[in-house]
This record gives sequence, structure tokens and C-alpha cells, in this order.
Amino acid sequence: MDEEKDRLFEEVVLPCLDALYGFGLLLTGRSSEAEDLVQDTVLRAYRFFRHYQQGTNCKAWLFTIMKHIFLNQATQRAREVLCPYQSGESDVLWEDLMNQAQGSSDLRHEVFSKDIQKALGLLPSSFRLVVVLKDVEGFSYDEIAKLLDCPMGTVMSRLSRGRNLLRQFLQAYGDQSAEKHMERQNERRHAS
Amino acid sequence: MILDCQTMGRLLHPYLDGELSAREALDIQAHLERCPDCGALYRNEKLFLDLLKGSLPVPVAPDGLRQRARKVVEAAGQEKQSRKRFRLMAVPSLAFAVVALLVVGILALEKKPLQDLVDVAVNTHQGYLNDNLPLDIKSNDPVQVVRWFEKRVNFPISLGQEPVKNLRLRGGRLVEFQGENAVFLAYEMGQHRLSLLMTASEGVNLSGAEGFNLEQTRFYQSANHGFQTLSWTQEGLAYVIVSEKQELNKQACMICHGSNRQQLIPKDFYDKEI
Repeated sequence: MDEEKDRLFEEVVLPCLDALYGFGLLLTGRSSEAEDLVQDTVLRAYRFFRHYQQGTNCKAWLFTIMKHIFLNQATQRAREVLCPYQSGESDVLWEDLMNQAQGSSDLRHEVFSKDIQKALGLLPSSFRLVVVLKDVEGFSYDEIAKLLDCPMGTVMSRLSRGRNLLRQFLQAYGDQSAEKHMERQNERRHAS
Repeated sequence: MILDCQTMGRLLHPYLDGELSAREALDIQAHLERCPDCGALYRNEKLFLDLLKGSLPVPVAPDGLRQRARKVVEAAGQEKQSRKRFRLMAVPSLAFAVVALLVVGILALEKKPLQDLVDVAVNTHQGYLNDNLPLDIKSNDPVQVVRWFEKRVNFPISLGQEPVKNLRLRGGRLVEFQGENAVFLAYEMGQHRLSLLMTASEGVNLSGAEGFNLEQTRFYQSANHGFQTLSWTQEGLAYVIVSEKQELNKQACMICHGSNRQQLIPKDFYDKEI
């Protein structure tokens, strides 16, 4: 019976390690801490595996365990990352961010000379968390709301704002790339 | 319900995320068919979200982490085993009682014969996988598929919303069941292929090796010719999902039955920014 349970555990839990590590990185921001968090999560999941209902979303169950461990280990930091409202969500800050994304050449240079990962890193952490949970991990709005203990409306709002901000980054990146492309074309023409 | 363009704009991302009810999704599709501006907006947003989802970095755990996780689990398993052995030695009569209860419990499980609809579903699924039973209509558009079937079956069909996360409609074919036409729909979930057989539930008595309830609906699961089936009846229709894994069947099933998320969407969400 235990062998069967262990086999099932390996079958449903271990494939989620990459996603768990990603979530750990989002929460802690540090690779070593994320790894420790994954290890603690896997251990607790094993001990409480009898509570896992087969056929339900195992990844959501594991993410919830990780969130609780993180909350217990780093209460203050957890509040900063997970609390329902935080800086970046007020309208004033939101407008600032949008203006920065649309206009600031420094930010444009910083963001678009690198890649979308950098752009993602510039989002307020609450937006980044929701965008990743939805667009990378594929959770539903309801699952994200339950995981983050916040209303579904907040999830939808953060997702919409996070995506719009990324859209602005990508748009500006595209504009800048086009400008550079034109410059290169002109240089080639002059050279020939 | 007739949607206006403003409501359409507000529902577009939830629609693209597969978060709307089947009825709302159909309303959106109807609006998109007749409104070129919203159609263009839809295509742009879909392109953007596809680009975003395809570009966002997917996390990869460091090499050693998987090994560390396995070691942690193995150590915990050994610890548990040793505790268990101690308990069994200390209280043999209790252990015997537990084993006896388990045996009685297993013997008491429901064991009903599989019914025809489940057999038909499995045979059709197998035939479809082997390319012996091709689809009569190939389309991932639920509206188009529903329209095709509406003229050919004697029961109403309402398909789940599209797009739905991880579940892609491939098309359908007509299947004969008890002298009437039944609907066979083929789906893909990642690399796996699933099918759904549906017919009027009158005269159909579903059962399986094991049953469970979810949101007031009784589901039956069984293994049949190497496939896993999940069957249930609801609102006058009988359904059977077939795939190689019960987990896939349940995931597909949870899309409609496992969430009350629509009820959780705050009514005023679309009217204000939070």
C-alpha cells in the first residue's frame, strides 16, 4: 500500500518541481532560498499526502503548501509579496509605471536591450506573481485567488494591469528594435 | 444575451483565458461574428497573449534539486516505515484489526457490470485512435461543431467554452447507440487524446467500479480495454469521457464541474478598478 502511495507521490509531485522552484523564486527572489523552500514543501507534501485528493490540481495543492511554509518562515517578507494591496496598485503609482514604460528611455534601454524576463522583473511583485501564475503555470482565476487569499476581482485586475504593462514594454521594445534596424539599413546603404 | 462592444472589451481576457461559462462564451462568439471592430480587437489580443505566453520564461529547477527532493522523500519514507514496524510489533492485535477492516472495506466496494454506453465510448475512442473511425466534422470551433450536430441528433447540445485551458476540441462524429444517433467528440489535452460520448440519458444506467460525488452529480469511473472511463448523467444527458488516464478524465471534467468560480466573480468587478 505504501509502495503504491510512494509511486503515486513520485508520479504527481515530482513533475511539479520546476514549477515549484519557479514559485519559490517569485516568493524569495533568491535561488538558494527557493531550493530550500522546494525541499521543505516536498517533505511536507509527502507527510500529508493522504490529504491530497487524487484527480485534483496537485500543483495548486503544492503551491499552497509552499505559500504556508513561506508565510511561517518569513512573515514580514511574505506580507510584502503576498498581501492583497501593495505599492504599485494605487492609481497614482500605476500611472507612473505606465508613463515610465511608455516614455522613459532609461527604462526602455534597460528593459528592451535585454529580454522579457527583465521586463517581468520590473513589474510590481504582486502583478508579476499573478501574471506568472496565470500565463506560465496556467492556474485559473479562482485557483490564483485561493492561493493568494485575495478576491478574484483583485486577481483579474492585477492580471490585466500586469499584462498591459508588459504590452507597453514589448511595444516600446519593438519600436526601439525597428529604429535600430532602420539605422543599420541606412548605415549599410551609406557604406555601399 | 446581446453583448455591446464595451462589455465585449471587458470580457475579452476572461474569454481568452477560458474563464467564462459556456453561455457567456457563446454570446462572445456571436458578437465576434457580427462585429468587425471587436473581431480585430480579439485577434490582436489573442496574438498578444499567445506571444506573451510563448515568451515568458518557464522555470527550470537546478540539476541537484530533483535529487535532493528524492532523498528527502526516501528518508521520510524510511522513517515512517521504522515507526510503523515498531507500532506493529507493539500492538499486533490493533494491526490485525486494521488489516481486517481494510479487507472488509475492499470487498464491500461496488462492483457493477459496465453498461453499453461505456463500451460504445471505449470502442469508438479506440477506433478513432486507430484511424478506423475518422471524424465526420473536423473543427476546433465549438459553435461550428454544435451546428453540425444539431441537425443530426435528437437532444440539445451545449459544448464547454472555447478556448479552454489545456483542452482542445478536434471535431466529432456520429455514433449509433440504441438505434439513435449519439455525439462523439474528440479532444486533445497536451499530447493526450480524450473523447466524450454524449447521448440522451433516458434508458441509460451508468455504473462503474467506483463512484464519487461532485457538485451533486454522481460520477462513475472504470477501466475498460486498457482505457479509463468517467461517466455521469446530468440534465437529461449521459456522458462518458475516455482516455488512457483517469487523471486526465477528471481534469477535463473539472473544467465544468470542479469550480464555482463564476459565482465568485464579484458583480462589480467590471465596473471599477480594484
